[in-house]
Amino acid sequence: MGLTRRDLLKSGAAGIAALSLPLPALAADARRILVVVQLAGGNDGLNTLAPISDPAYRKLRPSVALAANEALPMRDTPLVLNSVMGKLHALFERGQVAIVQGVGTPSVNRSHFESTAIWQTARLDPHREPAGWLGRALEQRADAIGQPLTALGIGGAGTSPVLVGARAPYPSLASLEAFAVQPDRRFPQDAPALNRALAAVHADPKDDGSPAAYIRRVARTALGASASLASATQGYRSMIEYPRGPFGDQLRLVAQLCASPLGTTAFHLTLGGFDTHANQKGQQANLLRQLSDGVAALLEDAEAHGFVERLAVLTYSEFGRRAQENASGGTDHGAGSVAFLAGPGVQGGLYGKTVDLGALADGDVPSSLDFRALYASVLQSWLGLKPAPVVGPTPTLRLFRTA
Amino acid sequence: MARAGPASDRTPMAGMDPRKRMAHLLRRAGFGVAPRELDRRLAVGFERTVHELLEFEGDDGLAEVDRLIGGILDFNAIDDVRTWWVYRMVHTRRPLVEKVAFFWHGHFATAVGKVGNAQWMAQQNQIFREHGLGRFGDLLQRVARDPAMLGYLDGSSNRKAHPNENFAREVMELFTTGLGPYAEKDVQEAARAFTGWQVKDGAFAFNPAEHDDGSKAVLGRTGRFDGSDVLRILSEHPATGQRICRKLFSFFAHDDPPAKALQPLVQAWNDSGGSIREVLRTLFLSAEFSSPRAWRAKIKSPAEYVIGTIRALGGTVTPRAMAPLMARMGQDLFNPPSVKGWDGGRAWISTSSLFERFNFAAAVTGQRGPEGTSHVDPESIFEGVLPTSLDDVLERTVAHLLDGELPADARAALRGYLEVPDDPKAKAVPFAFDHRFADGKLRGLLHLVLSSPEYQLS
Repeated sequence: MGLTRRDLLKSGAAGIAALSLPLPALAADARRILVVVQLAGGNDGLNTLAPISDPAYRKLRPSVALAANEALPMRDTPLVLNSVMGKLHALFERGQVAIVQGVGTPSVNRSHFESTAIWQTARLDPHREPAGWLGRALEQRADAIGQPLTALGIGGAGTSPVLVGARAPYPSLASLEAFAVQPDRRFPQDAPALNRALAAVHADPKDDGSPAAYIRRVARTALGASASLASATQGYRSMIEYPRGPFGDQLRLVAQLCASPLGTTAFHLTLGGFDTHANQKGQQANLLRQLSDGVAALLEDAEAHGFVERLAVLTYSEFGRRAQENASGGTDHGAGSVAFLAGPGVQGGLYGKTVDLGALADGDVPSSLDFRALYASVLQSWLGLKPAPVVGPTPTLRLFRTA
Repeated sequence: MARAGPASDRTPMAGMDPRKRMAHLLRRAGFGVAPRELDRRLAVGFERTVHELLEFEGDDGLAEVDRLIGGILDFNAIDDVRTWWVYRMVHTRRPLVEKVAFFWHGHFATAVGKVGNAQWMAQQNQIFREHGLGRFGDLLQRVARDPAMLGYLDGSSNRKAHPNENFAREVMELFTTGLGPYAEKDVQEAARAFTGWQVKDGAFAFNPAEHDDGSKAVLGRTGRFDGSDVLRILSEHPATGQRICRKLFSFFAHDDPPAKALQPLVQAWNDSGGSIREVLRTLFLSAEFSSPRAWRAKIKSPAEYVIGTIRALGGTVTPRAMAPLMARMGQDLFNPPSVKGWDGGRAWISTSSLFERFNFAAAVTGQRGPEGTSHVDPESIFEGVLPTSLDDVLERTVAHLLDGELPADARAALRGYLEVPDDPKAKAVPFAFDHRFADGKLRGLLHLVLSSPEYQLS
């Protein structure tokens, strides 16, 4: 690691450094990267990709509908993209964005929690399966076993259910600074002994299924990953401007981690606030702008750091929203929504069935495309994993240029 | 060290060591044990302590902080409301009242991020404090009229022409019966019953002009129901009693209640018209509560971890600094991630949240300010009787913070840590409990114990 024993003692990291994880055996540049962004709360697809020329649209949404000056036309279609998503629109024009319409769960569940659990586990009966779809899928990789940095949850204190594997969740990371043990400054010489003892109280590998055994396992991952992350991410510099706020900061951290030799394959992060029952327009616009600007910044940064060819970004949301607005300037829980997939490897374009506002399902945009088809395509064509064990027998879409 | 013997206890639970059992009760029905508290409680006895926790009538010792409201504490700022609650949780003489308020905050989860009004959040918190041990039906009626809740679930913009289903759905799915007894149609009908429930000048107001007065069918009953009627139907539904009793059991005892342990709680609910106090009395006095299945079976929430640690160390910390630390650990008070509240359990533990806990432990044990400022005196856990050997230091620390129980290898690791001098160049000297030891090794030991997996468990 290029550090002398003296350096380690000085930084108080000796006990931790001993746990440092090996870097992945595969060359990092062989790896494709998937960044999954959860739009939590139920994103209103009809004001994201809007059928603005259909007269029924404004009739259903007298106050919520996008106005003509809030709309970016999509070439050769009757649809518009919300104008706050200018950057994603430009990427779409360059053929780097796939927009999947009418995507949803096969049977509609209007509970946030049930529907989110279905999306995150890819099980229609999600309570029988605590492990998430990506967590399960990544276990197909022999080299992912014992390599916790294969996937990372970014932001927040918890790990997304998406990244829970059969054995344990992959790590979550709020910031690099917070991901290290702080020694007592008054007794720096005591730090190695303290760090050794901290590792030792978590060392017992026996797993009796108890909460203590679980905590020990997560702690061992944390202490081991801390040293790897600290040394691997040092060289990152970026001039790219990300949106202000936690979401932009988290995307920048993703870029920093991707630019390191850690070899992380999958990231999950969350942009929340899409549950727009009231005063929807401003709130949703603010979020969609962050999404669009953020994803564009990440791709730009990836280009600057030479990993953009290996990067794809996927969004999902637990459901769309009712076609008809409510009396609060908002919309209630609906069914089908839209998903975005972005990156230079993506086969850009519109996928799925464009909504016919004259043929709604119980007042909702129908969920006409099973979300598992989206996962199956990403797993098979992008990550090179077998979709069937994760999502069952599902037709796939051709969402990527290359297999 | 003076150790009070247990007073006579008639509760059918002889198996668990009385000290361990009392500490367990005070962790679950409150926020843990302060130095010198355990002996005092043991002198009172377990049953009597349960009674005092449930029925406490005296001064809660909090007039001091309440007097600061409107002065130093500005309730228009949510950080001040958080500071106030943290102070209460640490210093109250009615720990169960604050713990029950904390339970209802997770159940009737309402987030300031959407409500946007700190005063309303404080008012809602006061409902949980004043009515949290009363009848569930009364509590539900109050919460449903609470401006924070009406704001959070868009109830106040629920109009006759376009009912807003948000509150109607969550009151069924999350607050009362849970998924199962109702269908989509019940949600739509209930939403009509809540039309016209509004907030006016910061208080609940019923607007008859926006109320749908027609007939509704909810859970198999039909009538010209208003919101109160629907709430009554929901709180009286058998699924609600069962579900709330199960949730109370999971929160206060353990996550896997056997049917035979729930049955007496449901009985107490039915006999008392849904009294939370009576359900908890039955729970705390049950054999299942004082069983190995419950002891150290739950992972502490960030609030329990932080507040319990401050109490256990008997120190002074800035209450204002504590809520942001809990937020970093995954529990932003007054701002739960969704209307479902916090998932809890293993979801509290992630690589990042563990680092937050380790680093909180480092920070809190390193508080060396002068007395009266942010100050943690590590000796206070020894309750005035100083230890005479390293083994004595270790045993008594483990007794105070871990009910005396720690696996042998972890114990050996901590013993090994104590033996290594904090300065490798210093000569080995025989053990003496001097200032240098208390300021260095003892703080280090506390940092390690507070970071141990066993201490993360309640």
